[in-house]
Amino acid sequence: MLQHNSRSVLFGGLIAMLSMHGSGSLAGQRTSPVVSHGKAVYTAVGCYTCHGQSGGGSIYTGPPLVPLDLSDEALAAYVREPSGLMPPFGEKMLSDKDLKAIGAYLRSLPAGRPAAQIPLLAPYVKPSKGN
Amino acid sequence: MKEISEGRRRFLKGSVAVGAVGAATPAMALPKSTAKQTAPHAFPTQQRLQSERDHINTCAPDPESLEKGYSPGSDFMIDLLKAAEIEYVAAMPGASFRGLQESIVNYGGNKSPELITCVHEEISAAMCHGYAKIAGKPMACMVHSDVGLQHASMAIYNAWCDHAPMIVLAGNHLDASKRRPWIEWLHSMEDLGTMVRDFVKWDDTPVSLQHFSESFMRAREITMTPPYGPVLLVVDSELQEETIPADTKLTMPRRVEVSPPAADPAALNLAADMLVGAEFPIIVADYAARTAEGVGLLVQLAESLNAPVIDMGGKMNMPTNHYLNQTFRGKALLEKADIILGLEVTDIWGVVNDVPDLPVRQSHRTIAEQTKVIAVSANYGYMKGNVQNMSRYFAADLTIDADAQASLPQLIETVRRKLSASQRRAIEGKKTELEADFRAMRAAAAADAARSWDASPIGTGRLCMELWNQIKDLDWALVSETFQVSSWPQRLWDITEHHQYNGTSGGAGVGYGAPAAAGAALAHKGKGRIPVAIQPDGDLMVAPGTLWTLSHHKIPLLMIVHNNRAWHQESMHLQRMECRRDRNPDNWRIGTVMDDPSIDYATLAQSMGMWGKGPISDPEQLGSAIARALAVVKAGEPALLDVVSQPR
Repeated sequence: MLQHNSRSVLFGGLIAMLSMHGSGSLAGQRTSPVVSHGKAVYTAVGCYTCHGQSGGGSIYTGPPLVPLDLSDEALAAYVREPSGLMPPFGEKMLSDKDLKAIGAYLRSLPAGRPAAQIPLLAPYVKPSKGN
Repeated sequence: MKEISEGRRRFLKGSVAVGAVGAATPAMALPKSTAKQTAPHAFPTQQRLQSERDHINTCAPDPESLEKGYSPGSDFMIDLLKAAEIEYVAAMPGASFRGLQESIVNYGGNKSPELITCVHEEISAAMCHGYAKIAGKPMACMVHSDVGLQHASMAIYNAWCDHAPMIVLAGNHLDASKRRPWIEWLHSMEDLGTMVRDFVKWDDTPVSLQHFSESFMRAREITMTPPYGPVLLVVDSELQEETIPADTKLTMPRRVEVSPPAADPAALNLAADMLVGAEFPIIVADYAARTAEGVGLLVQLAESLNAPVIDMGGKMNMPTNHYLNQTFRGKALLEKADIILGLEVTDIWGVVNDVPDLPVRQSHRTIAEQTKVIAVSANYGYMKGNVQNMSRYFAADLTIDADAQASLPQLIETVRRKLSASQRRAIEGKKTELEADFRAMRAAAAADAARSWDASPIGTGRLCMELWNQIKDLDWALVSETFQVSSWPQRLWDITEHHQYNGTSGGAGVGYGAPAAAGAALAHKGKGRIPVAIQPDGDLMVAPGTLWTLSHHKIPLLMIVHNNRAWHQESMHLQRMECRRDRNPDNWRIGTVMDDPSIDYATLAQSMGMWGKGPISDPEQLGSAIARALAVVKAGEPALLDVVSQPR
């Protein structure tokens, strides 16, 4: 298990890397320290592998997390003892502090434009005879 | 399958192998004087050859006899390939089939068959796999004895699982007394078929040219008899290279097509009763539509019952814009169904049961206890014991050993005949709700795609819809799998023609994607179609040399690399292990992430003479990049776009 200082160095490096390469948020957004930390943890621990860098999820791996409508407590409770196929994350894997930061990060992510406002998707959601 | 049994070894020891010569000519026994003169697998002596010629010359006249002499034997082999309408033979060169290769490029004029040069045998075999699913006929590949066959074996396994036809020609040096030291011993096997016997339909090691003639046509027949599957012919190097006296007459059986097995009428009658009497029947189709005709038949059956269809994607079975294609409402449908009709479903147990990936692997049924299952598949008549692709045993309520597509006409007619007027009205009455369910399903998919629409890395929904926007008015064909990109094409594209989706690898053996796409694109070439592939990065790196073959042979294909910089499935597996063991939360990346450095796929493509651009990580650039790449493909060349994308 990494010591706290080592994890801070790791996360700091990850923040730099993610800033260079982009990581699921709109390019150019400014982020607070806790949101940056949350993004780093979200990536380092691998939440994105199932839920996507932008929290969009996939029908085959994990539900979307954006917009996040869970409180910090509810998020933590589920992550510690998930009911589905998600593996449990114990305190050693994710501290309460890191979980809160992930929550802040997810809440900072844009929900995305509604499909009706995206020309390539609008035909599927507009009331019509069929799609 | 055909093993060299002990009985056959004794036969070869004591006699010359002579089978029936064409359908009209009876088999004839050899004169006893030749009985003891031939050792197993020995090259025929002049006395034996003469005896063979005497035997052939005394047979009743065969209209298929060839008057010309053959020198060398591999020229005759090429004529067989031509008679079987093998258009292409893929190969990485190997000494054990040098005779065949020389005959292809000289005697055969390198046309029908044309040699497709590959840099790895897995590419050769996987190209055959992808090709056959579009062309509707087999392609051949040549592999260099044991080493080449090992390389090709992953692709052969995939084709076996995917029920795809393929003819594998493996060179070999049978006569040990004539092998050059060291190298021809390393590249020979006593029984080459053992390497792949568990996952080919049939294999043979002909010991004479006449034997080869009949075995080749049998191989072609078997590979194209449903359930389709790969076959192996071991081609002795001396048979290829021997000089045949000019007056030798060899015969060539004609190419025949075998009618697929249709279901027993009584069983179909019972199935129709169950379907007609159901309140909510559903259809699960996997490899149901072998050909385009199968799509129309499935639509007819589904519409007759207003039965929603779950298309598992082994083939393009059901048009995605048809209101009864409700694949992505599958869970709800299965829970509601009272009758489930499975058409060529590989894993029927897995459709109605599950074993979750949890520490305690508890099987459980996912459908109601009273739900009945009808299973129709030709696979019941053909399974192997060692390979496990048959999946877990499931005792259906009605099991029918038959080819689904061949059985559909009778099933449709029987269902329609049995429906009463009131039942027809009730069925028709379901349509409005089903149409609404279909629209809601598609709207939900669009809402999902919108979530990561403006994100970087690029959302896979954005990737697929930008591509769709560019190809939807063209004669397009998707020649890749889609689950790695959350099946967006099936969820949001209008896939209406059988050739527009080429199915999956079958065996989930990594490395299928690029070469199978190349093979499919080869089949589309010349038809004016625009093949497109969404190619996972990890899969591409197994056989990146495919890009060279695409470039060298000028095979038009738009390959968009779904570059999530990981073997993503394995990333999730390792993360799951770390969580369960409550260990280090960060090390799942070790051995699963393809980063540091990131691979430059555009430069990789360019290094092999292929147009390549990227990496693209700004979604706003995607549309114009795809347009530029498509212009290259429309001009008859392959093109690659590297898109940095979300995991799924």
